[in-house]
Amino acid sequence: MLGFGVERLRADMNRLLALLFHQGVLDEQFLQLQQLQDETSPNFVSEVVNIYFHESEKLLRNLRGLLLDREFSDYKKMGIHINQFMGSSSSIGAKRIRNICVAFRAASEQNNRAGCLRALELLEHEYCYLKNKFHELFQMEQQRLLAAGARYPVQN
Amino acid sequence: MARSGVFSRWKRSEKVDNFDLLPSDPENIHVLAVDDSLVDRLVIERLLKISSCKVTAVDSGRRALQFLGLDEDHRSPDFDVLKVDMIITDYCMPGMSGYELLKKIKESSTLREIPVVIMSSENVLTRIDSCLEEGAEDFIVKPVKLSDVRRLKNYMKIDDRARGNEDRGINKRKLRDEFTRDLTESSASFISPSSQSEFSSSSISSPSSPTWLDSPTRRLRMTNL
Repeated sequence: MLGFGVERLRADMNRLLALLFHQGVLDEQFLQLQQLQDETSPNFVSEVVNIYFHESEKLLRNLRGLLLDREFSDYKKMGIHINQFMGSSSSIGAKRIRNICVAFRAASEQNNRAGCLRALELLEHEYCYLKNKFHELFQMEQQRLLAAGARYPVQN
Repeated sequence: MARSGVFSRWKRSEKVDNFDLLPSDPENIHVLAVDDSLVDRLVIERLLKISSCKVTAVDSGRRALQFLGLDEDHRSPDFDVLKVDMIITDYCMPGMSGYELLKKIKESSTLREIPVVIMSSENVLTRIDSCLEEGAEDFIVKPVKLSDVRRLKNYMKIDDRARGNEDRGINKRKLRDEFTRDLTESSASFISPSSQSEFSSSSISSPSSPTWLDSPTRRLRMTNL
């Protein structure tokens, strides 16, 4: 029955979110984002998160490009990218990514190239994980809306 | 009597039976938000809108000055209509920093009364201090939350009440200094002469503005001494 599907999807979503909180991947700032979503802005969370992904991928590409350059020395420029990534991650509640940025920045301030490379790899890994989880969440949300729509055809 | 949070000097108080009444219009608070990060702009915009504020979000100090009519090259002709009740700006921005923007606003005779709030992901005491010294209303450590925005709105309401019937042209910092002077003159037993100088230059507010005393900024400064 479709009605049963809605409740199960909601439970699955909550379980996934709880897991991400438990793992320290997300923090309470993400809850803030959810509170900002309502009828007047029903897709707020997915919109912001998708913009975050778009920007993050650009920043990660820039960082990798800088570090792979054999003659790389512009740690200041790298610091700017790291700060941007750290800021936006913190704003959406991506706690683990933000913490890795902190370590990344410390390595950058010490001109520690090896440390920077390690941090970047960690960052890329965590970013990948977060992106996958968010895709799962958004897919579940889509399915839940579809199922709810079918169950209550008169609702918006 | 509920007081509105309208700070803008473009509104005139209505006189009714010898009482000055301020129009109650909390929905009309217009905030100019400045942040180079798109994600942060979206979040702050939403935070403000959900708190019943009108928002204009720009991505640089330069654009903020243009909007406020301060930029010589692109003076905004409709400035009279675009009243801004508060400016909230990120500290770290390419080009003009939030600190530089703050200074420019406080140097302007037309704009210096507008409360300016600084946001920063960095919890640096010297940064906070220099912003407050320069006349910033408050300093919010990012990420910004609903409770932060709620607190800012309360500022404006209480400030309005504290000002009462006073001339709106009084600079905020001067107002604060006057309160401080009154405090030190009338209650010399509370503040010892040796600490007077440090208090008069800091942002001590009068007893009628309890919100500042609760400000995390102040708690932060005190605990980090």
